[in-house]
Amino acid sequence: MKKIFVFLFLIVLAIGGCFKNPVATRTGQPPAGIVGTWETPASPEAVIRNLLFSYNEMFIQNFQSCLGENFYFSSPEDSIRAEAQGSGYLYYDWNKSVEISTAQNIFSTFNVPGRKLDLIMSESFDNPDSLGDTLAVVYREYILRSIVIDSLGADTTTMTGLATFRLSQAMLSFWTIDSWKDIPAQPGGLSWGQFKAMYRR
Amino acid sequence: MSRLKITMLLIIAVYSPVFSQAVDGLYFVFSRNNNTYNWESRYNRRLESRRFSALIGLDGYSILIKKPGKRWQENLTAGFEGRYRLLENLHISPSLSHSRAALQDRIIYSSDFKIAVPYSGLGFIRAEPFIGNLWRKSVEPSGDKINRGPSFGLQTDLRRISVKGYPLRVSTSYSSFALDKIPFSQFRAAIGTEKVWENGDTLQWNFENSESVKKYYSGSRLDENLVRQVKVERGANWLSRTTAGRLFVIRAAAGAGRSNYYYDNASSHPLLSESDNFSESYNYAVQIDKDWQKKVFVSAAYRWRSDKQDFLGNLLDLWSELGEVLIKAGAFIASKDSVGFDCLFGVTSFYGLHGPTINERDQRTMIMNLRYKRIFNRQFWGEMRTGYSLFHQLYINSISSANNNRNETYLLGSRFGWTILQPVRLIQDFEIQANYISYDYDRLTINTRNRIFRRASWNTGIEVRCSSSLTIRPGYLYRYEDYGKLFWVENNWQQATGWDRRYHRIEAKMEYSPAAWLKIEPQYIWESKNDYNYVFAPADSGPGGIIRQTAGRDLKQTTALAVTWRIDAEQNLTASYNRRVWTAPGRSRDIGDFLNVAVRYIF
Repeated sequence: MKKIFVFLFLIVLAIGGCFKNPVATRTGQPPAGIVGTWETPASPEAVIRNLLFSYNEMFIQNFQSCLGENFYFSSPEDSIRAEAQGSGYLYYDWNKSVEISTAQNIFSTFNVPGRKLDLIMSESFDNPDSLGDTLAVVYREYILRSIVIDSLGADTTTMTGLATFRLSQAMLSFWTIDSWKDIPAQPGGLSWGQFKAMYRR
Repeated sequence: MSRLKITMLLIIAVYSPVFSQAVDGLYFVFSRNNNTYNWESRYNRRLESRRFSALIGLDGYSILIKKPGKRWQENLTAGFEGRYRLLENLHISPSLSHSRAALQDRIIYSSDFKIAVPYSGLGFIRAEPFIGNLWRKSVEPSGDKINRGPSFGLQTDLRRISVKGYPLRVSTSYSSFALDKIPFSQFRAAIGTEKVWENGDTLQWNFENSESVKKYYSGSRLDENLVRQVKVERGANWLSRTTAGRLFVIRAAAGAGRSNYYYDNASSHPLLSESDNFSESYNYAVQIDKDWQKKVFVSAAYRWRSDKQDFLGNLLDLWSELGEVLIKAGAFIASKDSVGFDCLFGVTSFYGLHGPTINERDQRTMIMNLRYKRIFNRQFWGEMRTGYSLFHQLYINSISSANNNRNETYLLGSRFGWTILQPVRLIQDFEIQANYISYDYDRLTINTRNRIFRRASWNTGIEVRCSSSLTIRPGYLYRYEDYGKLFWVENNWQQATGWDRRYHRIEAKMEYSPAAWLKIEPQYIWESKNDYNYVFAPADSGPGGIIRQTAGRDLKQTTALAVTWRIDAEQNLTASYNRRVWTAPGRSRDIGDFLNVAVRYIF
């Protein structure tokens, strides 16, 4: 009986054509566009600079290279408020793939004429970075402005807060971000985490 | 305040006769560093009698962040779940939980009450209807909000059913929560089977369907509006292990799943996260294992996966397909020699779902590792290993293809273990690795993005067992790293070092157990890190040259002490204190301290 199941399984796969050549790749077109600002992430600060540039340049490839495989994002204050409003699920299970698809949404939304994102990050005076040998915690105070310009004028939304990045250096690779926690500058104020949640899919 | 709280919890944990009768066990942790205080406590109590059983649980978690601006967060939950046997096949099961989640002046209270009546007197069917009530109250600066309503539902399971020797699991459930502002309901149905034969062969499959509907206020914008969300998830999984005579063991697994989200939104400009979407995924894997007289092992596997995500018209909608091969082999060449090899290669392709997009790409992966180990004698053994990995990213569209790059790493390492004398053991590690990142279309000699990163490390660990109660573990680590640009000159790569770094770490740790119930672990770590930059220095005459300058010099000294009071195998009290002094030229002396107290007590 069990062998019949195995043969049925293999026959279904063969008929379905579910096979991909594990060595063949496609040939890409020669480059015609610009490239983003990128520094090899040999230090935690370099990763954060890459994150900053990739956000301002809206380069998703560089952005995703900053994140570790076990990445997660949390925005505790925003998620408590969202929970009370019934949309707490927007903050659930925020892993690397969620972060990338959310950033893709933001970039595709703002990478058009009339829309602009402006991100500034600075070291936190109250929270000095803790840089270890293979682990690091980096604090950055941020100001994120989303600007929408239409015939009526420019509509600017400003988000401020403190982003806490935990980074690690794996054996065979450079520094990457393992976790990102966002806290608004004022309780209940507009934050980066809240902005990202609006674009989560 | 914090000292009082710790003292109270410790007294409750260890001495209180009231709690000692009421809980199975208590767990408490307090930790603090320069900026954050954490309190975590939990206890559970299970009550059992002939007709009645119950579980009581209390959880508390508090965190205080001092900077920037004091923030106090506290979560408290109390729960009770009972089960009383009315008749042989009929139980009544009340449950109650109450929680308080506070962040500064915002508090959410929530209370759930439920009575379930599990009944198993219907032959093959076990049914569990329930009724209950939910209550939520959020206290915010803008005012209080209360959301409450009744709930009801039914869960059924088929019991002890088998078809031709295959045990069948079938279950369905429906529940509805008629809250004032966030009503939701959910339905779930599942069918599956699992059978394991005596020789280890296994067959398992299941199908699952779940649907849920809820309404909520979308509050991410000022014009809050009511949104209705319908979520439909369907999935199937299949797993088997089959022995093909004495030849091979074949393992096969497959899965398929699809989830849909539908939104009914009154707003003319709904959020992107609230637009209809779906994702689906199909995968399978086949693995064949073979061994020859337990001396040589070979395993080969192929994995395929396809994912699709569609947000109905968005240019970023993609589908992807993965094909991957894994080969593993190992052999005991002789009684003292063994060798192992593994290799993984595969390609993941991403395609536009509605036509070509700038995100179409292929990701090629190749990882190879080879290990050889020899046991020279009872006192000395050695291991050599080498590895290579390649991650090649290929964007198809010309807008993105400038980022096509290869990330390659080469590794060579060794490890030796030597029992010098019976109480003295030594472990020696040495490793070198080089990481190249090269962009396919970047052959610039100035402002190139091509990089090389090299690292070598030497790690010596010694364990001296002075007596059965005293062990000393000194160690030394040295690491060298350099980093720089890679230039493509005359059809060859040339490195231009940008910086290098030397790191030394000397460590001494002692484990001392003057009695079986007490363990004391003092530790001291000395770390030094020197950074050097390579900069261009113009000369008074001539073209100038590259000089090496000191860029930074860090010195860290860490002193730690941990004490463990072991009450018995499952109960203990641990306290540890860690103090780090960090000095570096040009910055003020940084002192960080960390305190941790943990209690685990079983009554």
